[in-house]
Amino acid sequence: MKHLVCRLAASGLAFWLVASAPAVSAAEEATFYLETIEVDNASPAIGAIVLSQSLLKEGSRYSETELRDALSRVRRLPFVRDAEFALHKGSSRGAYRLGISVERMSPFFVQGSSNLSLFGETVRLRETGQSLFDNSAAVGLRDSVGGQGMLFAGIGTTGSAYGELGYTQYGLFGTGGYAAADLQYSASGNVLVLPFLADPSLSGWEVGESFAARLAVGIPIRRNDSIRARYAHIQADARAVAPLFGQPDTPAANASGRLSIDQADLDWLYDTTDDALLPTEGLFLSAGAGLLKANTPESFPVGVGPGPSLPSPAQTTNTAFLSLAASRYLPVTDRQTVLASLQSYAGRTRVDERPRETTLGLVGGLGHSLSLLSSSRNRDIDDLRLETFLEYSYDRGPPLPPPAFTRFERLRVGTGVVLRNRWALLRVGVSYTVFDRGRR
Amino acid sequence: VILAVLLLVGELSDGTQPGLQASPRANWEEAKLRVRIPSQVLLDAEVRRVLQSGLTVTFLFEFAIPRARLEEHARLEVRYEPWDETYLVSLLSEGERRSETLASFEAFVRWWETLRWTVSSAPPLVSAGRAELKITVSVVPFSATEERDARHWFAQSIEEPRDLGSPPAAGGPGAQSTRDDMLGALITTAIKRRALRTFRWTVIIPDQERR
Repeated sequence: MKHLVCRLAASGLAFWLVASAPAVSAAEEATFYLETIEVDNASPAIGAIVLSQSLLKEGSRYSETELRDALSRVRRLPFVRDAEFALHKGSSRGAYRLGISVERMSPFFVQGSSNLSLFGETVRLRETGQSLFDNSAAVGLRDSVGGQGMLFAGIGTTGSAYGELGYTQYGLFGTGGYAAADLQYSASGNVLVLPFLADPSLSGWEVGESFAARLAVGIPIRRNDSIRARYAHIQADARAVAPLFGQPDTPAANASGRLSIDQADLDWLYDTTDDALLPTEGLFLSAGAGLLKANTPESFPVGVGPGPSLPSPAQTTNTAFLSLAASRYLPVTDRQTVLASLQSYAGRTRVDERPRETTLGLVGGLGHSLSLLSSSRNRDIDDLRLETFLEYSYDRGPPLPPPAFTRFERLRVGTGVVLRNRWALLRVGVSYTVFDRGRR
Repeated sequence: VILAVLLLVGELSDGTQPGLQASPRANWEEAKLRVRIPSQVLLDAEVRRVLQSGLTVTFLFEFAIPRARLEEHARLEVRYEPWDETYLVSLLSEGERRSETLASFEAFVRWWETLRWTVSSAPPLVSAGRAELKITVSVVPFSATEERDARHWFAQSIEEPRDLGSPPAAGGPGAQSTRDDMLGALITTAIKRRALRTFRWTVIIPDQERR
């Protein structure tokens, strides 16, 4: 596995060097004085959002590169299906009127996915075995509210039914910034697997009611750079817990209490990708710092079996971390894109009253996306893509007694078809995952 | 290996073409292979619309002779100037830049029809077997200027063309050069921005000796 890590890292570096060929500024690039900017085919609220997120100001001069970046920002808005820029004559010679034509996504949307996960060993999740068929579906509405607000509400199921309500305020502080809030509630049961840093025992927690709240604020600092602050709180009433990789016959331990995760982070982002959901070109970088706090409740074994016979105490994990992420999307032909991505974090973790330990994690991936549509536009389907990926992740946690693991590695390969049109995003796929883990 | 297979499958499935009646013509002039691209490219509705945007539109030309392992590129940038209602064109071919201002769309079409694209490295045909010239024209919104030097930076990875009459060698050094070709092709096409429209043709290169 270590050889694989080295090879993946070397390939990633080589790919990165190729992908990051020096871009030279165009000395003779034309600039345009934008006397007025008009957003066509949009309501006043949508027009105001598009204008603020473009970061273009009337009475300023812009190069074509700056206009292209502005167009990418508009196209990344989740409710924008397509957008185009056109320059027209202004009121005096040398002045231009920029027309931004926007085609909106439907206010009504459907999301669905169906994935067959195959594992290299027996995994105990909602079902126990070497395969798991996962289905999720959601329907919702999204529309503009007030001056520059966007409200959305939806219901869905990911093994359990949930409801979601969110609101995004654009044009924050008059800077093109935004603030987003999202609440999610589920009354029915589900099985949650927490991030390795939050639960190094790699357990599946059977929960009842669960609730999640997320807040995000983003402020642009230059045309492709922004600062983002996020906070997320997730809590659920735990009922039972069982190790993911334990003996299948061992009864799940009873759990009583609340498990929760609180995470706050502050990141610098650089984004030139052309699409928020299915990018085909561009670069995304982020660097930041954050705090993660996780609580897992006490659990008590049931009956007699080969599993742990002692109660597992409640546990609190606090981690302060630094994180880096990079994704590069390269269009290699008109219909094919290659993706290379790398995410990493390094943290100092304290579990209960134990001394702080260094923890780290790495996720590297290579992907390929092939458009199954011809180059001529099909207005009923925007995207029909065959996506293939290879992903490797490595996590190293603090040295804790069993059942905790100190290391967790995962190699995943998968493929699937993604369909997107103006009101739907549907995925069907299959993946195969092998795991490796170590104890102290 | 998986990536190479996926790219190959993608390329093989990438056979769709806009329905253009006209096709390019290739012939030898003064021992150089010259190509004319039909002006119907400009009449395509999508191309015509983006040409009117007042922002630069780039036409990327690729001429490939697979038998000679040859690939050459040229670029034409066009910007419609709303104030003068003129078309500012800038042509980069064979390492030379040529800029012109054309008074109308019709003048731009006529100018396009006069263009003779030279595949300067095309080696002479010495055998009876005919070689194919693959032509790709990609229409890319906005300027591709910043890609120029990156392309030039990578151009060293393209090897010298081989004689059209001799088939590619199997094994030995040939195996290495095939790998270099794949890398070169991957890199040079990787810099290309996603095209709005792509036109592809395959034409037979006429026999030079018989002319």
